[in-house]
Amino acid sequence: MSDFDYLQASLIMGGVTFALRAFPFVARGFIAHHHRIQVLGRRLPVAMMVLLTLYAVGVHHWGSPADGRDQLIAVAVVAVLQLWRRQALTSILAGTLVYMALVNGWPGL
Amino acid sequence: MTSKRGLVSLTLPVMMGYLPLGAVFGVLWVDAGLTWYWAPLMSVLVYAGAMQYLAVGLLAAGIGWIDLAVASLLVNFRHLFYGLSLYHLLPKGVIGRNYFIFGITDETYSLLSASGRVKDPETALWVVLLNQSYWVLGTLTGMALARGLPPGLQGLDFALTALFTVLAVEQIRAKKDWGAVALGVAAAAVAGIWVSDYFLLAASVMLVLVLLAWPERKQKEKPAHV
Repeated sequence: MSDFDYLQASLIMGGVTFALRAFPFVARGFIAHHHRIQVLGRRLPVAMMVLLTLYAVGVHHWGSPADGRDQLIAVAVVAVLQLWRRQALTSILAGTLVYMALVNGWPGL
Repeated sequence: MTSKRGLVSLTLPVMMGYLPLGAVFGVLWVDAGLTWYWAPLMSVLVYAGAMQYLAVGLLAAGIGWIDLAVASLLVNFRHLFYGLSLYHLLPKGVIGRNYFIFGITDETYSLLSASGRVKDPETALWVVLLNQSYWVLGTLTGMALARGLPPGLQGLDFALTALFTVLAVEQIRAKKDWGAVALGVAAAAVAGIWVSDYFLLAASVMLVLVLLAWPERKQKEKPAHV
C-alpha cells in the first residue's frame, strides 16, 4: 500500500467515525424523536458486538476451524473474567495470554 | 477548571486502559507488515480503538474503501448517541468544538457523562486531549515492543476478539436484550453459510434491516435522554 492508500483509509475511517460522533450535535431532535432510530440505538450495539465477536473468532471460516477449540476456551475466559471482575484490561490481557499459551503450545497446556 | 493534577487523576483509569490497548494495536500493526509510521498517524487521525484493531486485518487483506466505510459505520454506530448527553460540555470555538466531538470515544464518553466531575467545556477538552495522548503514546510503545518479540510468536491478534468479547458482555449486561443477542448469532449463521465472502457487510446489513422492520410496541420506549 502507498502512503496515499493509508491516508485515504485513515480519512475514510476517521471521517465516518467523526460524522457519527457529530450527528447528535447537529440533529438532536431527529435522534430524540424518531422511534425507529431509538430502537436501533438500543438494540443494534448489542447485536453488533455479538456479531463482531463471532467475526473475530472466525465463524465465517467454518470449513477450516483450525484453532476453534483454543478460540472458544479463550473467549470463555474473557467473558467469565469480565462478568466477574468487570475490568476490561484484565479480561483482555488474561484471555490473550491464555490463547497465546494454547496456540504456541507453552508448557503445561 | 480542574487543576493539572486533578486532570491526571481524573483520566487515570483511561490511561491504564489506553496505554496497553494502544500498545497491542502498535504490535499488531508492525506484525502485519504495514507501513510503520501509519500506526501512530492512524491513532491521531482516526482514534477509534475497535475499528483500528479491525483495520489491521482489513488493510493487510487489501479491503476496498466502500467496505472500509461500511465497517467504520457499523463498528462505531453506537457513537451516534453519545453526544446527546454531552451537549453542555461542547466548547465554543470552532477548533475546540470539532476536536471535542472527534474525541468522544467509548471511554471518554463514559468519563464525561458518568463521573459528574467534569462540569465545564475547558476541562472536558483537556480530558479528550489527555486521553488521546495516552492512546498515541500506547501505540508508539507497542511499535517499539514489537521488535523485541520472539519471531514466530502467535496469537497476539486474539486481543481483538477479547476486546469485542468484553464489549459484547458489557452490552448484554447493560441491556439484557436476549432478542438482540439471538439476532446477532442468527445473522452470523446466515451470512456465514451463504455469503461468507462478504460476512461482516452482509450480516450487519441484515441486522439493521431486521431491527428497522421489527414490530415493537411504542409505549415501551423510554423518552429520549436529552
